[in-house]
Amino acid sequence: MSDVVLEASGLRVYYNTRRGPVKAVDGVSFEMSRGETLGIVGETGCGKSTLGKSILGVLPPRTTVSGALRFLGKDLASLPREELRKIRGKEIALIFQDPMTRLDPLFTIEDHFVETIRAHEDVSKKEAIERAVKALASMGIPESRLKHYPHEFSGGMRQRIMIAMSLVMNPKLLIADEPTTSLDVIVEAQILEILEDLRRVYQMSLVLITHNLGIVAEVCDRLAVMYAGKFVELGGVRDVFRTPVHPYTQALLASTIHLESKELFSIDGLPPDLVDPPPACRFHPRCTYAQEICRTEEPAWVEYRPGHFAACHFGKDFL
Amino acid sequence: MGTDPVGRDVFSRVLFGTATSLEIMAIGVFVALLVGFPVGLFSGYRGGRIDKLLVLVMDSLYAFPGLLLAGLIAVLIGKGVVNIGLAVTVIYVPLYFRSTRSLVLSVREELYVEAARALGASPRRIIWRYIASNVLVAIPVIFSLSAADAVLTAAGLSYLGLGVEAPTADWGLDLSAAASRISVGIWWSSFFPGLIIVLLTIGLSFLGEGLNDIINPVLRKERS
Repeated sequence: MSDVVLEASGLRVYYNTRRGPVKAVDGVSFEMSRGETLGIVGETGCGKSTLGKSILGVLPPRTTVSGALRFLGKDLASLPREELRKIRGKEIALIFQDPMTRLDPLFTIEDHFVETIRAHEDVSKKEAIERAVKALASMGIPESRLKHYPHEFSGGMRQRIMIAMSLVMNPKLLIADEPTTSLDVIVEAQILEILEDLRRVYQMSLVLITHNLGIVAEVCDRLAVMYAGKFVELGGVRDVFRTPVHPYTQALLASTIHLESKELFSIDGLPPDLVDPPPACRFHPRCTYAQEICRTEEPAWVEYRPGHFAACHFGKDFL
Repeated sequence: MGTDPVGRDVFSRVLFGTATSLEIMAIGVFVALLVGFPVGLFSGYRGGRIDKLLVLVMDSLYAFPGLLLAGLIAVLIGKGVVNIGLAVTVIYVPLYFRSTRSLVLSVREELYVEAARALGASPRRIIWRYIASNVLVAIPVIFSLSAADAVLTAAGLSYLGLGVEAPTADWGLDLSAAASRISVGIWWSSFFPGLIIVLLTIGLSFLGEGLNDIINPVLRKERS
């Protein structure tokens, strides 16, 4: 389990806009081991999806990426484009969050699969179709629908098709950006189970980007909490859920709904503007514990327990 | 249908004129498509300075009155069916360029293009397989409309004496020769060439509609 699949250090992704750079990801470092599942949670607009896309290098033009990103020891930034293209979809796959518009309306499902498989492997069309049938079957889509066009499927089916397509090459690393958001809980459970199986059988690593803390608790080994482009806490799921260090994580956990919850807790204020984020600790304007130091000094990334990191000046007080 | 002022059979003139018209239209529209589509695709996908320059050139051409421009070019390169076809081409290149380019700009941002990139499709494949095919869907409509328009332009050119020369059978030419006789009650030698121009123009417009239904899978489904 110890061999590192993905290593990010000081990763920064800035979208250059007229108002100035939007610091969507601002100095994120983490490691992923083989077969590990890392959950990334955070509010809408905190940079989760950008982080996922930056790993594959499918960011829009005029985006500045700095910091290092190593996949199986290879620096992704310095790889030639053709090499990077070969890795995309084969070694690292990405499941997008909006399945409705991710399939080309002019391609049948079969075309999509053949196209994807043949972009990476020199196989006959027949063989590619066989593989497509198998991948689709595992997602509960019958072979008879292979010749259908995307608009003939429901949203849930399209999402399952997208997932089947991402998995057809048996990637070593799968980035799932809210893969089950548009699905009902039964299908959601099935998909999570399939992902779990793949992880066991093929030692696939999984980055699961989600809003749903319940899924994280069930599926993930480790959890990273993201706020305004930065990781504020990272640790084993058990540690983070039982004894969250960062006030944002605490607030996030407090705002989940339980059977016995009478009133839902919410965090005051709005997520910060990423063009001009608050100085020092980015959470301080919304933090109930904020002191003077939080406004002036950036908190260090401290290991509070083995493997459990957080960035808060008062982290010790919450242990 | 009678005969025309110099005693030629109007019916056979109309029949042979069809060939002239269709040839000019085919050359005009196909060459325009062959030039305008790839250039628009490239310009839209690349963007930047080359794109700006191409847009400037094409817009200048577009702004020029079509018939006048075609007439000018016909005068420059000489008459004859092929030359008139090429003169007509110049009008429609900007049309194809503009529509292709604007479609590329929107298709380029479609999420399925990003998804294809994430699944490891090469840039060449993305341009041709994903972007070009999605842009091509819109072409039949433009194609048929411009073809209908090209028929009118060609007829207009010959009517003005800037198109093909007599004695080539041409509807525009026949119309202009017969127009002065309507007042004395000889209506048939101008009516039938005019009628056939209308029929062909309407037919081409319908063709575009039909093609659109066949090519677009969403519409195809609704029909069946």
